[in-house]
Amino acid sequence: MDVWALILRTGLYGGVVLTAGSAMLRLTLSIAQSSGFSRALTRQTAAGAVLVVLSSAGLVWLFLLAIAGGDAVLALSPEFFAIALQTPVGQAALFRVVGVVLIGLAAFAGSRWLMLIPAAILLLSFGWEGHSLSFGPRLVSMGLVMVHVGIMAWWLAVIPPLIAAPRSERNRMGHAFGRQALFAVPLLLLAGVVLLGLFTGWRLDLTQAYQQRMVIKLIAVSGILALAAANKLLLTGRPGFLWALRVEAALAVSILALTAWLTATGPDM
Amino acid sequence: MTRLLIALIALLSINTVAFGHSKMSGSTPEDGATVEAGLAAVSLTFDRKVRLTRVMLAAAPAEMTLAAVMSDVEALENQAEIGVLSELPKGFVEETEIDFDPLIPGVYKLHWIAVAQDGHTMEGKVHFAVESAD
Repeated sequence: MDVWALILRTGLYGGVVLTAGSAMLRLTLSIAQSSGFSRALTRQTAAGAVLVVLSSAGLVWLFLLAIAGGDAVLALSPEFFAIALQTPVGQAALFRVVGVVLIGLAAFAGSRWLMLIPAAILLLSFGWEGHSLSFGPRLVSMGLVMVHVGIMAWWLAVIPPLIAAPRSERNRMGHAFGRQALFAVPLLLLAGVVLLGLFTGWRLDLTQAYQQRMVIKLIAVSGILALAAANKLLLTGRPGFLWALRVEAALAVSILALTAWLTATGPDM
Repeated sequence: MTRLLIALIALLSINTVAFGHSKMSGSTPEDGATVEAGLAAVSLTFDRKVRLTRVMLAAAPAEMTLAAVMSDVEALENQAEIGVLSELPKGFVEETEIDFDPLIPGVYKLHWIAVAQDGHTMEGKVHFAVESAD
């Protein structure tokens, strides 16, 4: 597997967490309007937008190189760009660029409701391409991917501002987020389980490389869930919360990388 | 309302398994075949529509046998390409023919690269020998 594809895809997931995730946080957490937290969300949205554009461009470049047999001149020709746009790979990259541009415009307009549209476009880009195209009813798998990636982005996007916030604000924010996460995280897991079922045909077969890789991801997911539960029930407002959040952030990055690995290699067909 | 519900269920149940990764289902000549001199086209068939993006045809050095070329995945990678006469199809097709000038006796490898409608990239090789007619 191409290590560049893995790096770029991890960057893409990170970028979508920071952009779409922040947009959804602004909507769901009224407390996120406080100036310090809002500034943190604006900064990470900008960083995420850069990540999305760079990683999308990089992934399209790898795709063009692959279909041109490594010929860089051919890969850069207008004909090959047109071919890319005929495929879900190019179309999804286009969605992402449009999504981050619209998020920038919505942020400029100061409308958190308007941000929901580009956030949805960003999420749609993941249902538009990849293995969700190949398994199960198209609209169902597309919807499940959007729910799964959307809640994941919303969850992980809260971690950096929580780490950066002053202690009192962190605790308030942690409590407010934790209450909503009680409802959102089960939905995230449900969407993930159904997607896994569609991708594997509801058959557990650990001799398959995809399912072995998925087990590794599930171990990391179990770790972050346990930590998030500990944060919610025991640590919020207590010493150790900040460190727990830092560990959660590290686990989040590893889960994004594992997801990139799973996506880049794909289920057995 | 009932119609709308039925239409929605029908739409949601469109199964896209058939949209999975495409594969080459055959070629003429077949991989590993020996054909008579004068061959001027290779046809490729896929189980689903693909967009061919590149086709490279190369001849092996005189001392290489067909078996040797087939067993070495890197074989002929740096050999000069033989010009292909036909343009590659501009759309997604299940079958296509690659034309070139009639081939002289020798061992050849046709390397193709394509992209499926789901964006999956694929490549493959067809090895064949052309022998003199006499």
